[in-house]
Amino acid sequence: MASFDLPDSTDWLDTSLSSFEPLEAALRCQVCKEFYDTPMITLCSHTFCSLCIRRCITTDGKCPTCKKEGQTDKLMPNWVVGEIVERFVKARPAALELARRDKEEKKGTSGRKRKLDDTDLEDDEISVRSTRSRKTRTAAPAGGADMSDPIAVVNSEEEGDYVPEGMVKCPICQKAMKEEQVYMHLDSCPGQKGPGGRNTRSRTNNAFSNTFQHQSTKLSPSPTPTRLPQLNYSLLKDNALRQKLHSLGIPTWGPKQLLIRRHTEWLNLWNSNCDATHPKTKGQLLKELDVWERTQGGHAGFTEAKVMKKDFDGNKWATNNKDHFDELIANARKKRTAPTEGEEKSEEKKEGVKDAPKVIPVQYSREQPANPPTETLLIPHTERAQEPQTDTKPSVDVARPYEGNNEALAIIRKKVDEANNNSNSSSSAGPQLEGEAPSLRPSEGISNPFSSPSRKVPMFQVPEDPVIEVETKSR
Amino acid sequence: MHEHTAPGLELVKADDFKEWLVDIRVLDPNPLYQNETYRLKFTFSQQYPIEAPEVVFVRDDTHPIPWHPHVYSNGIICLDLLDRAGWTPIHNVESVCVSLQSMLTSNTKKERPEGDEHFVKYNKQRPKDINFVFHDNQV
Repeated sequence: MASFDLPDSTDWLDTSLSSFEPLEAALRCQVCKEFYDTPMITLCSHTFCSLCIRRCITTDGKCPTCKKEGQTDKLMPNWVVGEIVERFVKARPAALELARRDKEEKKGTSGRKRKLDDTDLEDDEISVRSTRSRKTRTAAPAGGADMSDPIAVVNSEEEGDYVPEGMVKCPICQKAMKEEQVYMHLDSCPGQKGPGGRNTRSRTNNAFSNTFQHQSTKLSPSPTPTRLPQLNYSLLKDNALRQKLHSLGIPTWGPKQLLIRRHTEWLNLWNSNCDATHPKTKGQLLKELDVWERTQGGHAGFTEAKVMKKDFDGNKWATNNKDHFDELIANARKKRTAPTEGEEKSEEKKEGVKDAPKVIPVQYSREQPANPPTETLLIPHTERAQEPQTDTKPSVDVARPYEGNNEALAIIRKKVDEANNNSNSSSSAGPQLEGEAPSLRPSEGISNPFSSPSRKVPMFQVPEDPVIEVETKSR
Repeated sequence: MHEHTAPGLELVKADDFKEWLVDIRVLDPNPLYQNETYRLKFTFSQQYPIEAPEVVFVRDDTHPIPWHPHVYSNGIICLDLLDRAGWTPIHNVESVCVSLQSMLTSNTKKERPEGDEHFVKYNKQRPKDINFVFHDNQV
């Protein structure tokens, strides 16, 4: 791709057809700024690419143009716009070239151009220009132009993805045919396994049934036109969600947040593909999901992708609260010697939740009112993610800032030693083995969350003498 | 892509889809902004245009930070369309710039936002993490 030589509506401005600029702009999706790909119309009568509007809706549920809410699943195809776009894109190179030449001739700058008459131009230059790969962007709706040829043409390529120009594949049986025929054909499509069946066009099918069966075993089936439903992620446990992803055939690794984002993207890709008149195969969709994975998903390398809110600034948070994390880790390591695992976990959870509001006021100055509750809620998760040592669940993909970071580990070891020494030297505080050590370090400047007396009580404490309770549990 | 920008805009750097620099001028004869050019820095995330870009004024020898009650002296802009709630994916660089031009040109007060000094001193957040309260409908 040579520099930024992308077709754009402003291409018309330097030509004698500058009024085509707004025309072309009107044929482009306002979200992606490309020509409409599978245009869909919303409840509020705005039109966008299917994938664009689905992504917008899964982000905030609003129409990008008018901000009207409640758009989910109320999209309808806008066939007319799709056809206009398709025709325009086909006519564009020739028209643009003519308009450019016209302008130059009017200017009288003949130096740059060969003297060619228009027919020559159409013969060579235009055919070269039309090789731009924009064809893939155009969603051609059923045009109704040429219904006179109902004979299905078989795709003889070994690669099932290839479809002759002007042809599309039946999403079920993979047979290539003119796009106008697809809907008629679907009513009688025999499916993948039974090519004889009810098909009224059995003469073609019989002849090539071997090819179909061969293809259907070799290729992953292309999407059937059934749209996938949304899931209520908050009702699903990690494993159930993982199973869902597995049954859809998409990657299942990563923490729940990533699973949710991946599933959402897959739904968008899949459902917009269902809208398309030229549906892609599942293999192609999986490739697109892989691109997403590398740019925005789990392979994108953003730590912010791994916490609850996708635009949360994980790095910033980690640096701002590093002391705090170190402290927590040091304490957790120290505690590890004494209490049972379950005890430790519940203790940690409780403290994580209680810490959150303590940290925030330090961060936000007067002009920045405290974050909304949603943002506050994620803090315990972040802290847990930053604490691989105490995270007893073997979650694979949490950020591990301390792994291999010798400097940070050294600091933590020092703090552990420090904490150990303190508790040893002041053994008069003896029986309080659990979590109390930080309170024995008044010299440290950091206000320690554990020092709050209310936290000495374990989470499920019955209202009795806390010291005795802790002792019996830790034995 | 944006070779033909609106008047008063000039694309300075747009080599990738991560960071763009755009110079903007206010064309109307507003005495506050006459003969000055301001430089805007756009930072795009992978989610653009679903997500808003980060847009701030940057200061250098020839480009000051414009005076405006919604522009902090470190260049951070308080404008609803740049916020998560106000952004819509149909905006683009040009429309954002034009909005900023109009925001500047309609201003008559040579002042900074309330608490500017404090904010500039203590803010370490990215602009998109800041929760602005949009109270002014005059912009």
